[in-house]
Amino acid sequence: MRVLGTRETLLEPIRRQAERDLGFRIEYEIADGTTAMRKAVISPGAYDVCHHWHPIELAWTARSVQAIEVERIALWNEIGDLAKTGRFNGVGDIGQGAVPVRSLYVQPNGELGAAPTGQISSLPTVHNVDSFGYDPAITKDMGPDEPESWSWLLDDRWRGKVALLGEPAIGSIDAALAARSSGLATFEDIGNMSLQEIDMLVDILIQKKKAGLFAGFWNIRPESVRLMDRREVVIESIWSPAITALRAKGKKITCAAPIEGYRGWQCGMWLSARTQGAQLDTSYAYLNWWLTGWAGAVMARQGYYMSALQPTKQHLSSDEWGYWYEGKPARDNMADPDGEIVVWAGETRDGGSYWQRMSNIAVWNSTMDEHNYLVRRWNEFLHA
Amino acid sequence: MNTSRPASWAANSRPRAESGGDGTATGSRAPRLYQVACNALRYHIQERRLPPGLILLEGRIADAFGMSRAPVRRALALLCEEGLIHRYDGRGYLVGPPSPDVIPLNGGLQDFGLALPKLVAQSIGSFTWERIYAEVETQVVTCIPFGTYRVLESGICDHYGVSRTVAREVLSRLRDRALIEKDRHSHWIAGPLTSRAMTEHFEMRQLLEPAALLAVADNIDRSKLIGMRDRLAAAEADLGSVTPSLMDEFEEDLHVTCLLKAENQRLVATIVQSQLPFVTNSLFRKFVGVEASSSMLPEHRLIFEHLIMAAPRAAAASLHAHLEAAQSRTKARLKVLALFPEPEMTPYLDRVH
Repeated sequence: MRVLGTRETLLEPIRRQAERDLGFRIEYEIADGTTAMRKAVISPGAYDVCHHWHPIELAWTARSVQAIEVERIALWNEIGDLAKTGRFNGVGDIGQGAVPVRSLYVQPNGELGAAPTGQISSLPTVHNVDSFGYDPAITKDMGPDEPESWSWLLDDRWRGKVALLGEPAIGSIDAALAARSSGLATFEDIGNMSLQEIDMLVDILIQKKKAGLFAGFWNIRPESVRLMDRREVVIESIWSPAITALRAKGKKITCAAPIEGYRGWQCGMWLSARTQGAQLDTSYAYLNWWLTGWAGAVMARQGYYMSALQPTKQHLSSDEWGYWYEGKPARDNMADPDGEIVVWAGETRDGGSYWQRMSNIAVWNSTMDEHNYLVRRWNEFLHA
Repeated sequence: MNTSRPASWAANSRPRAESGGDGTATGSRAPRLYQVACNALRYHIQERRLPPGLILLEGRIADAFGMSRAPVRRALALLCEEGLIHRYDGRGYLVGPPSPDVIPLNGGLQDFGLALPKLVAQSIGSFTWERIYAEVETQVVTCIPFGTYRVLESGICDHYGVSRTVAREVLSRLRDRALIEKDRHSHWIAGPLTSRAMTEHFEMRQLLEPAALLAVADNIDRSKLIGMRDRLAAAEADLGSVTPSLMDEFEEDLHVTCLLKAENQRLVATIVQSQLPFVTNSLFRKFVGVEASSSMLPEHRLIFEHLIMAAPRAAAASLHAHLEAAQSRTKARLKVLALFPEPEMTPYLDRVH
């Protein structure tokens, strides 16, 4: 069975455990987000299952993926409301942008919508909120009341020491949150920017770039770790596994809980349109395996949440569950998926519990209407 | 007119008009356009087909000859030097030498039989712009999802070995199809293909195409409608056999063959200008290699069913609903095009951003 995805979910310990539990061979093909998406859309014959944190929309439009039958997902009932209804903690309509539930169910006309049906476009699995990470030393000169804000990413106080995510679809959302929080721009819907808003944002970023604000841009997580580790950068857009990777090196980076809210995302598992017969059966087995808790526990140890909460909880120690999900102080040191200590006794997770963090979403990962235009202009910024 | 003749001109030489009594005699080389215009006008004047005092305007002559204004302007200047026509107080020239007795005479040139001999007209037409137009259009259409490009007039001249007049003819036809427009520096700009432009085009189509369908509903042969309906039904029953080009034909059956039959030419011209969304679907098929949605088939078929049942209003309503659904599909497809890197562009397309 061939699995395509990014390095955040395709972890070697998970692949080995899945092979042991399922009894068939599994190949992982790891790519950066853009490459994985391109391959998922253009080469459905090259994989059976794809894990991706982008909305499924492009792959569905190209009909490169097939619908997943809900009745073949044994633990469907374990998947939480956030994925299935979009409601979380009793609250609906969290955040702007591509709220995942709106493209979950296959509607009778073949398009995707939030109204439940027996078929889904992708199996909701890992999810989290992203923001930026910073070296706590930079807060020394700040007033005690200065709240964490996306505006810090465009702040000239750290000129030459800022890095941004270079991936256009979500890098632009981080940048837009920063521009809005700095008072440099306004957006009607930050998850679906207009042409003028994209132009305005790119102009601001090019200006900042020419003024020397940015030390670099990263496309894959290890690059973000290197930038921060070598102290070239003191603040950057960041993903949770990079925070744990830096902690494993003894570098404690603060993961901001911006007052403006996080950028939320949900990773789905997609079934290639070409996968049929016995391959389809093994693919369903692999999809189901992901919900049984073992993979969810590994994901938790790098800061990611799982759609099926209870099975995940059963595979975590109560201390781990308390730290990663409940926002409680760690009673003991804790390891990441590679076995490196990344949490020390007494620490609490930045941003609080699962329920606090996931309720505070400003915007979800999106593929905007003007995505094609955005990508071209974003590249212009990167090459300016 | 650009008088420097590109090297490839002779190699691409069109069929030559034979020397004849109509004044369009050619030498051993193909004549330039201004010579063709000059000879034809001289012939008509000397044969007294154009009466003394007739007003000659370059725009009207260009229309009658099916060429651009520049060669006509040069031809008129030559004829004036020869004394066959003269300037006067008004616009243009008058036929004949200056004379106090001449009264300016306004009239349609076609009324006096002014035209190029058919063979010459055909060869000019095919040489001037038709020969390269389709390829230029394909290049422009292919570039617009990838950004904003300047279309270089001189680049077209160099690339195809044609004169500026020909390049301008091609550009003006691209503009008529709303594929390019001039920016504030008077440069011809193509793209970018945006979701907003797509929405505007679809809104126009939703206003105009149902109206055009109502106008033509009674004039489409019923057996043709049945044929189109049956082809769609056959495709729906055997989706695996549907090719991208067959999908193109289905689009053409409804949106071109039927709708553009409307007698109102302004309506037809505006619809043609609003059909840019076809570009997205065609590129989507080209790059993605799949026709990802067959929803278009039953939607088209429903429109034909209503027309066959002589229910034009129901057909128009179905067409409107089809265009609404197509709008959301086409916008989604445009996003997919973002996954593709810019292909190698032809030299006359210069990336702006």
